Parts: sequence; structure tokens; C-alpha cells
Amino acid sequence: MKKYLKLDTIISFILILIATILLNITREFPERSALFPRLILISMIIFSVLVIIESIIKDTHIKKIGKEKFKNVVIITILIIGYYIISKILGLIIGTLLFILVSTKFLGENKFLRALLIGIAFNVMIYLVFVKFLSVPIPYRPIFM
Amino acid sequence: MSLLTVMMSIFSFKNMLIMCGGILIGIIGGALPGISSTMCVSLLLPFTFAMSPETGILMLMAIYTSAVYGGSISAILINTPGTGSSAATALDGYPLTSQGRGGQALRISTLASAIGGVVSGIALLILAPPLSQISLLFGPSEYMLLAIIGLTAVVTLAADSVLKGILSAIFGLLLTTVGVDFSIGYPRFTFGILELDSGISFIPALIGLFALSEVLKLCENPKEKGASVADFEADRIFPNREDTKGLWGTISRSSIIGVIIGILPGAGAEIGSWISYNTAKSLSKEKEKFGKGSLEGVAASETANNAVTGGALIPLLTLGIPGSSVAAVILGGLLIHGLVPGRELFTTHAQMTYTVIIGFIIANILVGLFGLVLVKPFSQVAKLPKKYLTPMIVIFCFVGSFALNNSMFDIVIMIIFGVLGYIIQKAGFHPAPIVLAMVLGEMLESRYLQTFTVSNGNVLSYMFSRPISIVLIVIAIIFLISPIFFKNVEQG
Repeated sequence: MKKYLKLDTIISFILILIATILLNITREFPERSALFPRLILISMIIFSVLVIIESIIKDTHIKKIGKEKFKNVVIITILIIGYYIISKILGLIIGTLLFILVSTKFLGENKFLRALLIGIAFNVMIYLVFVKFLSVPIPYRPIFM
Repeated sequence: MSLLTVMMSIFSFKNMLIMCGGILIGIIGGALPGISSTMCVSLLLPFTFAMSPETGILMLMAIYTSAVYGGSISAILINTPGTGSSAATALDGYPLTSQGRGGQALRISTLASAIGGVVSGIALLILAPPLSQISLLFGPSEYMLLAIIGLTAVVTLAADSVLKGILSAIFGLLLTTVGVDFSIGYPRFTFGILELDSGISFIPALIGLFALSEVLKLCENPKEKGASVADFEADRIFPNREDTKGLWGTISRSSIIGVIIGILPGAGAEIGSWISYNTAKSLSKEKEKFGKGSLEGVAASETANNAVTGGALIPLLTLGIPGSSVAAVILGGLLIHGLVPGRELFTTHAQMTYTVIIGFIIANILVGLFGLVLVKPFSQVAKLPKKYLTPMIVIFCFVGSFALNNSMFDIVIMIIFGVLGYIIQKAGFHPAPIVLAMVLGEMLESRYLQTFTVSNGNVLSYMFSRPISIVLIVIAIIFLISPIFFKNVEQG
């Protein structure tokens, strides 16, 4: 008997919980709108239970995340969220420059000047390739408006 | 529509430029360990919206086939397959490099990839138009079953357990129910968030699941040093008779194997290359060389994985069933351009479709030429350190997610799905069924509601009264069982 819950079991329990809450919400839907979501939600509960059973019966291989790895993933996720917030306030150009400076430092770049040059090169590339060549909009903000 | 107009369209300056750009991006992306062909196509998908459908789809297909080829460069030179489909190539490619024959291995892998791709393109050109006529026989219940077959195909391909694959697909279907219901306009599961009225955007979710989640994986060991790229002799550009001696049989056979595996939903380039490799090994006169540096092994694996690409496009363009994760992304690209797979692609949109198919064949020839001529610079790409590669992918994820609707909310969706994709993969789930379910969900629901109405609520008994539906149900069951067979073959 395992003393801990495996990640697939935890995810399945969360899905059962979500499905139960959403099933309850579908009661407010008109009958035609509720038909398909209900079918999906009931299937979700059934298959979540089956995955839990499978996980208990078979000793399914789950990749464990070490403490150090987990910490690194959390840090890069925070950096990405920071990139989003800065891009929203100051625009993508400034956001990209700052993100490159900080993330390359985290990933092992010790030379500030090189990181700065790469950041500038990236911005020029984004502008030329996406804005000029592909006519793709990018989020400009106050400084560049 | 005439062949001349199709050729004029392919060889227009814009299409050639975009196609060559796509090939370069694909080869570079494929050669970089950690970047899969699925990630390459996903990251570039949003940029096709500014293009005409034919240019956009052509670019995606060019990236697809070139990324599969690109994977062989790092497999041969650093023993790390750039894409999963080149894992078999590394078995013989790297030993060849160690013996000082890396240049020869690269020439053979390039030639084999190009031939495999061209053969699969020709198969696509010949088989797809007649097969598309089957779609004319289908009613709503059959279309609903087709969507389910498409899902079962990826479910079995992508997860370490079929149950987890099915659960992932169901979760993806649930996501498509978020937003204003298309049948009567009722907002479902929006929780008062205005941006959710139009549903969860597919592209940002796809970029998050396929690209950002990979970034998080790459960052688990941020300061890990990449493998060093072995030097190789580049004494000549094109392969000569000595290089190709005794390989033509393997290349021809592997092309056919690749196309067939590609057509079968549930198998992909990875399985295609392994089956081809094992077949070549069992039929070879020099079995003992396999695993120690056999050119036959490199040729078998590389021909087949590129032959799979065109094969996977056959069920995709004719019936809307993607044979691989990349094909699922391309299906999303087709649907967003308003193109529905089936007979219409070969009648109403014939010029676009034939431009794309013939363009795909030409793209494979260009992959061969680029690969042979630019092999030295491409080999240096594999050296690109993680500290530059990962921020670059994140920036692409941001620009691509924003580009579709000019919406910062879409970037939030991308980040959420990136983290979600990372977590579920750690639990043995795979993002591909979620993505495909998001692509097919709306079609599935509309066909389900139509079938429900036609059958007065007796959906199952209605389906079992229709022979075509029964055949499709049997096919769906076969696809669900097939992974047991494929796993056995893969393990050799």
C-alpha cells in the first residue's frame, strides 16, 4: 500500500471535483445547452475513477520532480508571469528586454553586456519579422505609442 | 483550375519565400534538442493568419517535414535526437560519426528524408482525391463518429495509458463547451468573465500545451551543459554511388512503410521510423552492423519518418482525422482558415489544395537541397545554448498568442495551459488529445445535437441502424486496441 497519492490520482480527484461542481451548474442551463456538457462531465467522472483504479492496480510509472528541478520550474514560471505583467504595463519591447536580461542570468549567462545585446537583437528581430514582414500586431504600450 | 495555375501559385515569389523560410525554421527547430516538430508548427501557426490559406498551410507543411528531417542532424552528431522520430537514427548515426563517417551519415539521412517526403507527397496527390469522395456518404452521426475516431487515434498515440488519453480528450472537449453556446446563444461556464464569452482560444492553449510546457521542462536543469557537436568531414556536398551503394532497396521499402504507417491514425513518425528500422534490420545481409554504425539503419529510419508526414496528411485532408500531433495542429490551421477537410477541399478549394500538395512535394525536394548544401551551419545550430534558446521560445509564445486577437488575455490563457501541460505530463497524461479535442469539440457537439434531434434522443440505436456508422464504430474500437500492437513493434 502506498503512503502517498500519485500525481495522476490527485489530478483525477481534482477532475472529479470540477466535474461535480460543473454538473451542478448545468442545472441552470437550458436543456439543449446542457446536453453535451453533461455527457462530457459524466464521462469525465467515469474515466477519472477508472484512471484512479488503474493507478492503484498497476504501478504506473510517474516521473517524479526533484526539489531542485521543481524550484527551477517555479522560478522560470514566475519570470514568465513577470514578463507578462511588464509587457502589459510597459509594452512588449521593454518587457522582452528585461525578460532576456533576467532569464538569461537565471539560465547561466554571466555577461550583462552580451545579454543586453541579445535582448536588443531580439527586439529588432521581432520588429522586422513580425511587424514589418508578417504584419503581426504586437502589444506596444505607452512608451512606444 | 489547371496545373499551370497551381505551379504559378507555388513558384510565386511570396510562396517560395515563405516556403523556404518555413524549411529553414523547420530544420533549425528540428535540429535543436528539446524542440519537437509539433512545437515548431504550433509556434508558427498564429503567423499564418496574416497569410492566404494556401501560403499559410504550405508553410506549416514545409515546417512539419523539415523539422522531422532536422531531428536527424542532432541524432547523428550529438546522439540526441532533435525530435522523437529520429531516435532510431541516433542508434546508427552517432556510431558512424564516432567512426569519422558523420558526413556520409548526414548525406544519406538528407537524401533518404527527401525521397521519403517526396514519395509520401506523391501518395498524397494520388490517394487523397478519390478517398475524399467517401466523405460524401456521411451524415451527422458519421461525422460525429469521425470526430471520435480522430480523437481515439491521438488518444492511443499520445498517452502512456489509453484511459489517461481518453480522460485528456474528455477534458479538451469540456474546454470547448466554455463560452456562448453556438446553438442557442447561452453562455456556459464563463463565470462572468467577458473574454470567455467567445470560448477558450484554441491557439494560445495549443502554444501553452505544446511549447511553453516544453520550456518549463527545459528549465528543470537550467545550467545543464548541452552535448558537444562532433566534428565531421564535409568532403563533398552530394552523395555519390559509394554512399548509396546497397541502400536503394531500403529507401524504397521504407518509403512505402512510412506512407502506410502515416495513413494509419494512431501511429506517427516515431512508430514509422522504428517499424522501418526493425524491418530493414531483419532483412539486411549485414544485421550485425545495426546499432554499431549501419548506413542502412540511418536510411531506413530517416526515409520512413519523412514518408509518414505525407501519409498522415491523407486522412487529415480527406476525412479530418489527424494521424499525428502535428497533423492535429495543421487541422486547427485548416479550420481557422475556414477550410473543412473532405470533398470540398478537392472541389471548391481545389486550387488551394493542389497548390499545398504539390508545394509539399517541392518543399521536400528543397529540404534535401538545403540539407545537403547547408549541413555545416545547420550542425552548428545544435550548439545553441539553453540560456538563449528558452527565452527565445517564450518570446515566440507571447507574440504568437497575442497575434490572433490582439489580446493580452490570450497570453494569460497560454501561460495557464503551459503550466497545466507541464503538470499533466509529469502525471503521464499527454497534451495532444486535449488539443485535438479542442479542435474537434465544436464539430462533435453540433453533430451530436443533430443526431440527437434526428433520432428523437435515441442516438445509439440510430447509429446501430446505419451500416456506415457501424463500420466507423468498429474502426474506432480497432484504433483503441491498436497501441498494444504498436508498442510491441516499437519495442522490437
